[in-house]
Amino acid sequence: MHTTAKTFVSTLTGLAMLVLAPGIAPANAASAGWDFCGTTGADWSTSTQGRSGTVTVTGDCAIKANWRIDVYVNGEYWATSSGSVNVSEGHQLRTSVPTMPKPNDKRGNYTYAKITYSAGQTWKNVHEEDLGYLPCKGCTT
Amino acid sequence: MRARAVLSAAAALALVPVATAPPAQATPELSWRCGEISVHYTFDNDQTGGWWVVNTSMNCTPDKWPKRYTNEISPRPFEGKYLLFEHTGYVNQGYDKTIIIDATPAAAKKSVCVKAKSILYFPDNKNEAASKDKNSCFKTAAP
Repeated sequence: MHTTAKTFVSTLTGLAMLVLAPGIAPANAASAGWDFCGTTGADWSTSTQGRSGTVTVTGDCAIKANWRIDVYVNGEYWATSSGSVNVSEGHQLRTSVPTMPKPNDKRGNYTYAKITYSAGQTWKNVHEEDLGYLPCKGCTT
Repeated sequence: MRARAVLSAAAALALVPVATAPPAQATPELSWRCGEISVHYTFDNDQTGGWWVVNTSMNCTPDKWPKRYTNEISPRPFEGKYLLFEHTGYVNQGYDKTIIIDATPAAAKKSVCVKAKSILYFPDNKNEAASKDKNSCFKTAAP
């Protein structure tokens, strides 16, 4: 009984410390002052009348960085891709979207791309590019 | 003895959810924070043409602590002039701003970008306590 109680207590302390640790992190991670990369545009292209397609993001980077594109459709996380990019002006990043859902708005599927550039341990630039309502012919599900 | 072992095992099992539940709720909740920045744009029009209603809303808590908000709204490609360029001093409330932007012809391929940031400061030494930022761009052609 004693040992059980002891392990139990130490587990609790362990959990408590786990709770503390991530709590401290956000305050530090929040200070991302420098725009080392930025987006300059985003477009949607489709050859299937909107049932599938490609999101192309253009951007600039002052340093070599990692990138990640997350595509959200009708508020739902839908597609992603990632890679790295060199110092560049007018680079193009792409995410392929294999399927699109049935629009719940007559204008189409409301879509935006969230682009995260990161470098080193803490540098991060996040940009959102709205693609608007993308019409679809034959999206059924 | 055996009955006791079983009992304590049952007790331990019963305790497991109790032990795991609180951390799930308590996880990263600092008592001070800046909330997610919301940027909304909605299109409207009448016989004279179309426009976008752009709203930026930010908030940090606790209410009593000082915060500063910046909101820079610019056309893209940039034409040398911001549509809104606002950097507040220390304030004790949230931020909410709505501006109207004319729609552009589709062929012009123009966008507008909202760059917003909220910073919360510790009240005693004015060191930065938390912050959030958001860059959000949308095409200004009438949908």
